[in-house]
Amino acid sequence: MITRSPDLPDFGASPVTEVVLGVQFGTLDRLLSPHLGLVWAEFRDRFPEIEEHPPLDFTFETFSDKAPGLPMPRVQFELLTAPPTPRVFFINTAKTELLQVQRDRFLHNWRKVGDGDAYPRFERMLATFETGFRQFEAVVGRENLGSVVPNQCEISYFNQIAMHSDQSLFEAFARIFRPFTSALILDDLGTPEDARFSVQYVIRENTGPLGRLYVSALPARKLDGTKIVHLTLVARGKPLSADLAGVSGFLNLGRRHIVRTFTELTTDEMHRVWERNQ
Amino acid sequence: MSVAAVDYDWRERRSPPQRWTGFVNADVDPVPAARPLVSPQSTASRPQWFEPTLRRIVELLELGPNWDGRGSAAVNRDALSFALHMLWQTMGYATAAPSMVPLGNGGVQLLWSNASAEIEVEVIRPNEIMIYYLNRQAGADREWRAETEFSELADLLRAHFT
Repeated sequence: MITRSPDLPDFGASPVTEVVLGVQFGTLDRLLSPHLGLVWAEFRDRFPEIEEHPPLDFTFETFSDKAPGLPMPRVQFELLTAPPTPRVFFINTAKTELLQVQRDRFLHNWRKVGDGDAYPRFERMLATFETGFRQFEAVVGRENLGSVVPNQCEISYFNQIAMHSDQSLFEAFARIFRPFTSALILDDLGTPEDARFSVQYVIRENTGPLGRLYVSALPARKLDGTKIVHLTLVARGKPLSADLAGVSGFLNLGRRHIVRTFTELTTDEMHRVWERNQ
Repeated sequence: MSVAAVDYDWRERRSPPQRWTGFVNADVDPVPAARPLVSPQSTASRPQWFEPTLRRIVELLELGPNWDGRGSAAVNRDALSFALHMLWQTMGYATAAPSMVPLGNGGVQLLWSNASAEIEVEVIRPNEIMIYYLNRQAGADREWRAETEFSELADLLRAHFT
């Protein structure tokens, strides 16, 4: 049974549609495409479907009080003499869970595919992530591909909050988010036609800044045309130590900040819709 | 010899979906609000150190193993990427670009030197940094280890090299 910290809000009908737990580690230069097949063999019974995708770029959270959190231009290093080793998805039959592996990443996603798909909860996802990461590490060790040294981890929650069909975007924002939106209604121009926001916070520990929490909300349409507000919360930063325990430590911390931030930014009215029970 | 490419896109760096869904693909189609500008701005604020630093990174990426004939490791892409993230947080618009020297262990050393001071930053791997500062006028030096927080380095770079 999953026990939940009493000071951590809980929602029976959360609008979350995808959660990702991930770790970035030092590039395994000796890991080539054929090795990804050996990795898949470890997971094939639970994740029999595969997909191939371009690799993700490096990302690091660094800090100074002179340039607080300015986003860096996207920079991608690529060796042109060899094709890039891809990122592969190992997907379960229901297509609701997957593992992603590339030379410097190991990720676990849960995603809502149908209306009946229930979020398996963070604790179960973390267990799947940890088990998978250990299996991946074992293959890397067995094939003498190097050491897996985590340097960054990330936890992401993607929420799709449905809008009423007759509701303007701004009305939806005002209903979802706490009253800061009312300050945006101007004497001359009235109510904004469009609205979106992004904010970021520094996650601090006793030793100093550890990572950042990014929050963004923007209007979107689901593939079926339904209007929604897409609310994304991402916690990213350095693992507490350069091993699986340190990665799990950060993911737990990031999840805590995400849940509490989600609750603080949204209204009591929406909490009732989402069946807040704690 | 290997050839390396650095691809960067300044103008699109603020695209939130790309940045925040870095590990996954969203299954939604954001509604675009921005229209093409009738009166786009003509100025760009790219820092002066950025282009020369990227050019040097490309040169370092082209170094293979044993680049010095003494068995040194190829320069680690993770270390170069972390160095660039660190510079982005510490450098001012007009701060001088560092000299960048490969280290035998696959790391990279960044160097700034002038009549008043010298700063050396060794990026051994991500989150493992050694910083050395020499104040030539005061005749004092010190060395410290850093992981992700570089406020003091930023202060020194702005004081001596901007």
